[in-house]
Amino acid sequence: MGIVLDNLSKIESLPGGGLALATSDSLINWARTSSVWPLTFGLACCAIEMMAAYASRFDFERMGVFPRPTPRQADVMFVAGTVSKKMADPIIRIYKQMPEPKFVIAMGGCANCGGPFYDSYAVVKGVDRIIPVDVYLPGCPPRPEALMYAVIKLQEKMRKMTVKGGLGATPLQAAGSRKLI
Amino acid sequence: MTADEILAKLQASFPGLVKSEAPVKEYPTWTVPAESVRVVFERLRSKFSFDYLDVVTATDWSGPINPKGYPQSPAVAAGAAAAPSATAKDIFEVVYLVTALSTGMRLCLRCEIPRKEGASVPSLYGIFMAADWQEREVYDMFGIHFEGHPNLKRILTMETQQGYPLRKDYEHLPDKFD
Repeated sequence: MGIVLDNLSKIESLPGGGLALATSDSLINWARTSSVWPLTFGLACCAIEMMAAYASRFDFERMGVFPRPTPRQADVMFVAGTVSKKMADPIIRIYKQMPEPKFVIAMGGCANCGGPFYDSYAVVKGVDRIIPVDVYLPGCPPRPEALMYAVIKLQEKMRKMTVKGGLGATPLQAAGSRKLI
Repeated sequence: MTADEILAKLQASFPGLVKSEAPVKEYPTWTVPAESVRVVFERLRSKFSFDYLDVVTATDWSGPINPKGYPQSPAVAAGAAAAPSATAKDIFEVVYLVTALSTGMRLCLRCEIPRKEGASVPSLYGIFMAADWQEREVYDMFGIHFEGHPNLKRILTMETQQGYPLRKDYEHLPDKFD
């Protein structure tokens, strides 16, 4: 079926073909990194760049990044934009609805640290104050290429996950996802 | 019918309604006393076809104001005595902008109320649909109560917000997200 196995490390084809051996870690991680499904979720102007990344010019889907309309099917949440305090509780709720293992990319200066709204009365100064973040992506807003780079970084992180390590939730996630305010 | 003619007709019923000294942009600007806000807008809508409420907003005129006219916090000029400004007044000013869509005429009405906790003006709810959310926003930011509004609660900030952010004396208290 034309499945590209180039990225599957530790693969071993037996002579004669028809059978391949690989470790379960590399198989699972290969599947996981090849289908990073984000939540269709945007907060502010960074979401416009995120939409551009999904659209035809940048075509995020060639990396397996295919937006899902429900947190139940999503692996990663792009927090694309300013997190107002009124939005904080819905974000925590959505995050809790996502199945494990789940990842968060904080996109743009606002989601990283509050950005230009660092002293605002209404803005959460960084989404990592409410949910654990895996990749911080700076920029105001970051270009679609930068978002792709963040996903590549996240894929690097995913490749380090092991079955032995509890199917991997990263240490950050294992500690953080159950300690939400 | 020009704005001045409308004003003259209204003044027969509402002598408190006067022309403002400083107009807002190029709009005909009137100052209306708080007690007759609702009846004036009812009359404007029914008799003069002002059927669209563009904006309800407010101004906090208290505090020192620098010569350029921009409000300046006393904390900014640390040590320096805050010079009292001629334009500083201890009032809230509620500002309404209404349009007659048939003629394109636009009016600005201001209503000055004493600046205190629980300052209130009559609500325009029931005359203009747009008044609902806009008055909630003014309440959210300035703490001005709109008498007769059926659902006057915060609209933009979270429910646990302390104080009213656009007041000059607002001080932010850290909440669980800070």
